[in-house]
Amino acid sequence: MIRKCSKLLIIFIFSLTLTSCWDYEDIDKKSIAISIGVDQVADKVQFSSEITKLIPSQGDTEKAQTANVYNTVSYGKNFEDARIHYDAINPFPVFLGVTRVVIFGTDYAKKGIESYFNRIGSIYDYRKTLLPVVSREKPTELFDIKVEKDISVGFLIENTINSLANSGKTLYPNVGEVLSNIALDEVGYVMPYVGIEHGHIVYLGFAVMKDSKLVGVIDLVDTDGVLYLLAEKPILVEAIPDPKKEENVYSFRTAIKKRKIKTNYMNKKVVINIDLDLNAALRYQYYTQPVSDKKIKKLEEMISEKVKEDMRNIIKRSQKEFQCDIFQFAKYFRAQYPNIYKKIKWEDAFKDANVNVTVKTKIINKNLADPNAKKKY
Amino acid sequence: MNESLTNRQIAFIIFGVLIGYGVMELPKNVAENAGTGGWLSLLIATAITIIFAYMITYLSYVYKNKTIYEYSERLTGKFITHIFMIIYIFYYFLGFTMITRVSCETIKLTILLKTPIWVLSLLFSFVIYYAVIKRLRVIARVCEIYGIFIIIAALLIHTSLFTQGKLINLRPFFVLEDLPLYFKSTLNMIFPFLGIEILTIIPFAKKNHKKVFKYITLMIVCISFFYIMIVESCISVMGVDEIVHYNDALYATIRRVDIPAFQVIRRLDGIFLIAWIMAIFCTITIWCYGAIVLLSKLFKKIHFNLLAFIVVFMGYIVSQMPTTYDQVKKVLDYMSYYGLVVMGIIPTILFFITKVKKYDKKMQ
Repeated sequence: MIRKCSKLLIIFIFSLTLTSCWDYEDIDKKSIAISIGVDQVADKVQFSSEITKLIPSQGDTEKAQTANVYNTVSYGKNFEDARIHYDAINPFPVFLGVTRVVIFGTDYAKKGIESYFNRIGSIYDYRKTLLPVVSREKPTELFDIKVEKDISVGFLIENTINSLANSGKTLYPNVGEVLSNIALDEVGYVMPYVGIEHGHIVYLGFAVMKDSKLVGVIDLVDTDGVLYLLAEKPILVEAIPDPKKEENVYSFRTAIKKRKIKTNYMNKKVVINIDLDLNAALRYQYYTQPVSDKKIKKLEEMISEKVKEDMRNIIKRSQKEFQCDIFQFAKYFRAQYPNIYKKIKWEDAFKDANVNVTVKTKIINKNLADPNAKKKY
Repeated sequence: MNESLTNRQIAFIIFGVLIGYGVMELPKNVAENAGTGGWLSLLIATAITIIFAYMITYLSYVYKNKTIYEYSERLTGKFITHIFMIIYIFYYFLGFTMITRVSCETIKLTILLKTPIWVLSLLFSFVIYYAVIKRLRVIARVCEIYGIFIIIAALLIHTSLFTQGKLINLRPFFVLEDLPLYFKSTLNMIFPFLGIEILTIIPFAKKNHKKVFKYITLMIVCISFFYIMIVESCISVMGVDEIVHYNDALYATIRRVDIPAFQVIRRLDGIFLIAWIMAIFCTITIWCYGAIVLLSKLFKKIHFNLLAFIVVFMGYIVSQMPTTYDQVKKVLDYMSYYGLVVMGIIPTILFFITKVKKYDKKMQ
């Protein structure tokens, strides 16, 4: 009898202690930050955020549900100072464990964001898979936009970038990946760039970061080259005009079959060879025209040339305009020539590197359409 | 009391004692010492460990139903045996206390931010005391069950990590010019294999025929691959340049990964922490048992359970002594060198005495 009771007692004590019952706090006693904005205002750091307003759901007072969000702003001469002010304006302890996105203002991004990445990397409750973006407008302006399409600005940005990345149209670099790039030294990286257009928050392209400082922007229309080089499975659309009939356009969906990046070191110069095998599917033509085998070959060449040009342009920009290796070719070179990599300064070597791009395209289907069908009448 | 174990149980005891706190910083240590070619250093370290393991197993195999205390007395006399025993007892005791402390520190810094260290240590002490008084067979069975769970969890976690990692982060796999570095860093790579000396306190029974060598070697090879899997998966996600900055490299890597397809367990840290704490429990229990069992050989009159209580209680107090995390780390660093004495030097001496005096032939 005593033995049975003692077991029950042990279970009871353990269930009490292990669930931390004595300092249990309800979820609506926490200020849950959905998005954090970091910017520079004069000589001060500005923290802005969206915080969920939790209210008990009707009929059941035990559970809480999200109603909407409220915005907060605080300033300080450094992060710690700003955080003190930030905590001072929130009614409950701030919880960063479900933060969806961290938004850097352009002014702050130009000054350098490495310190904030290190902060995210080390602070306990921040998720390391958080999405960082750079905003053309100030984060406070973004948070002031009334979002109708989603729960809040943070959710909207994360969902937009996530859905684009899933369909191969952008990159979703999380904080962890950026920290790895920063640790590599001498390479740059890109981050999604957002802004306000016609009263809506939109994805604008990529912010180019060198030494974690914003040095340029790649417009949405120019991002194809970056995606062909960096995205895991880019699925892009190429519109190729008919060589013989200008108004007819062939719309292709391209996907990477094989991407090979090899490097070389010749005459004290770095050579980067990029081989890309593409599969293209003809989605439709603006005006249905017969597509002969010869024409298919021609179209394949045209797609290859277009993609090659996209890639060449962006690589040239990174070498001349941004002057940093945003594609992390350094990893490939180091993998092949670790000893030479130790001796050279990659940043300089990359600027003068010879980059050869080869693209081979194969049109694999015509979307079940038969443009060559013969008419009987 | 019959303390004999099956070959499989012996192999899992090795798994239990080796896989523990060390895996947390293993990727960092390998990346720091040998870069992306660290897998080779680990393999060389495995080969050296197998040699030591062979010698220890051979001793236990020759002297059936005897632990190091008995056969050392026969080989070297009472006085030297007592010195050996003091070395071993102090080693196991220090290992038990410091691993408890460093694990509690890590748990506090990673999940239970508000829980004081003394509470975590106390909880460990209770459970460990309960486990050790049930003696070796029960510990071995726990190691078997936990071991299988840990292996399944680790396979799931590290396969998932590989899917999120990049192959380019693992290259260069091998740099010819770095070959001396790989050999040099082997010394550091042996430390994760410290713990196999626990075989010296496991009495082998008649049923542990020659196959026990195969089991033990195979287990060490498996653990070596297990280590390589951990290191490579972490480096593939984080890259060799960044991982070196994290003392909790494995946990930091796991926190970097979020797999939406896994739905509720999309963040793998929950599974990892359960498996890791299970692994730590096995490790600490075995180290503690090592200290108690050797002490009980010296103090035969004191009841085992009382001795266990004294050791666990003293261990709890000693584990609270270091004031900072760095102090604990320093003690563990020194312990690694100490470990080479108990894993390598003493068993080697005993092995060669056995061979020279041809005890192995006499025993058969």
